[in-house]
Amino acid sequence: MPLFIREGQMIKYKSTEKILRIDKIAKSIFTISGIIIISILMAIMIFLLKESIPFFKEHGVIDFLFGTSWDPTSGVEEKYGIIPLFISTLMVSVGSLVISMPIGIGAAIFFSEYSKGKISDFIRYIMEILSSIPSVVIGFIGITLIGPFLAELTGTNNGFNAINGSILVALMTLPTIISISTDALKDVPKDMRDASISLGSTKWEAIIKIVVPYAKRGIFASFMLGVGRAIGETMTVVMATGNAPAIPKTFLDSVRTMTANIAIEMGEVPIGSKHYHALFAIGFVLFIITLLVNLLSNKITKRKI
Amino acid sequence: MKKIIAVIAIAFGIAIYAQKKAVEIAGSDTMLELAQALAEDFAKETGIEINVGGGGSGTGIARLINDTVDIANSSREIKDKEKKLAEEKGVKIYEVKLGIDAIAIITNPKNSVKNLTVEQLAAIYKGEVTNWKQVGGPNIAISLYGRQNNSGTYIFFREHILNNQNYSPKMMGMNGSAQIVEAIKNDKGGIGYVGIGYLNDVKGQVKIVTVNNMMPTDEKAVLSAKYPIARFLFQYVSDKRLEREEIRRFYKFALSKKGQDIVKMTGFYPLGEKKAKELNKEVFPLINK
Repeated sequence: MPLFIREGQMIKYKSTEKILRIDKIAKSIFTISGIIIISILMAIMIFLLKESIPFFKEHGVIDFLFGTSWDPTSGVEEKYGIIPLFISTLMVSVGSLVISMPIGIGAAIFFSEYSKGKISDFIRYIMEILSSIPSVVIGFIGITLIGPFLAELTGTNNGFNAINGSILVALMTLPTIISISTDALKDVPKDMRDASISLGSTKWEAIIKIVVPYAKRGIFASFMLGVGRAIGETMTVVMATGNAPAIPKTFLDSVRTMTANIAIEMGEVPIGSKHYHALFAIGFVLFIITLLVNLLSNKITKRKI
Repeated sequence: MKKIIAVIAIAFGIAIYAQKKAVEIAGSDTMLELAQALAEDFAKETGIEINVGGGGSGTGIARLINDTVDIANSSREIKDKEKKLAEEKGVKIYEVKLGIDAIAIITNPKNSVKNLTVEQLAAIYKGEVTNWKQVGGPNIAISLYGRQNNSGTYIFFREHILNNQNYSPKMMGMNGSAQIVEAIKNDKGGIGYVGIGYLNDVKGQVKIVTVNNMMPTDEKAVLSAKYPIARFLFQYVSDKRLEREEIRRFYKFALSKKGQDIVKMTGFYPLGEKKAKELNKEVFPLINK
């Protein structure tokens, strides 16, 4: 509604129409954007499914999901078992979270509760830089710096193993976890801290028992982003984890993640061969895992009110 | 403003035109340096540009079959499966032998083992032998380095040393021969296989082990097959691509004395002009059309 109606001006109805029309157009634009995103997601899923089904038809799902050997180019017997790849992905992802979650929350608490002003801004700036380092460079650091260091520390021959992969992936997911957790903690109203302290708690108690639980959802969301990044990381693990196809028994063994395997083998497969479709099957499994992780995290964040 | 657009458009046009004329070679990691050296000298002589990429022999051949590359470098022979796939796609593939490569077995200088028999080598790579002391060396676990399954070197080694048996699943898959060399420099239990072309600049940093008491750097031993791990270096090209004049000229160059000298310079064993003609009987008449 216009603010001033000049005498004799018949603008009341026209402007209402216009406003309603603008509203409708805006709604359509946003709806279309939403539909585009959903369509893209559906298209990706259908594409993955379409290219994996020939493999499942030819080879069978059980042997693929529970097979313990991946050797599609063997001269003896071609094997398409995903277990070694799955366990490798699991080890690197979980390993990286074990490192990045505690350090992440710790740093977030530091930024939100303890450090103020220029120093804090400076450190956060450094973190932004860390997060924009390309994964190939991180992989390179893994090969030249972290690998040999780990070898010395643990007495193994070399650093091409799951620990190396976990450390590198943690390096890449830390900035995200810290950033989002810090924001979540900062969003906690000041009154909560003040109230707690006024009731006699120490600053430490206030943080652990009041502030952090209040920011639970945001912190958990940051972990989920970390998990997603960890599962999908490809280049770094290809460079620094050795890519041995055996089922890894300890974190000091070489691992071959699902993503690394696809990246390594996709270049050589003739389009349309069984091997080609098998790689898509791995991609489909990754897609399903990501979907499940997201569904699970949604369920958990809804419960924690 | 219009002038700027015109200049940009012309620049684009030239770039696209130049790209169309450029020849694309991809494939074997082992042959990368050789192909690049050939491309460089060829470009100096004829002005024809050649872009050389890696990706592994398998990748190169796959691209050739998919018709996305002019020439595929390959350090192994084309598989029957690949030939069949090519036939199905209506692509006829010609094989050109460029030179001979010896594969060196390298270890860390701290490892005292000097020689391995082919049987010991096979046992190590199949995972049957896991400690250097089992072959007369120090008490260190063996770190197996190898290539990925898109590598011609990987396939060749498996065919000729392992008799097509499976590699040990503990063998690490490195992403190129250079990575194998770098890894073994720092791993006292490491063993790896690389084409000798990759050992030009690593004096003292890795150790070359003799196989059946022969060195891969011994020309006589390699050419007489006394050194047991030697192979042809191939290039594969399709009939469709051979119709391009640039590619025929390239082969004339590669199989001539100049080209063969370059093969020698990059660390491989040349066929020599005469033998090159002999071994490439099928392609020669097509090249000289």
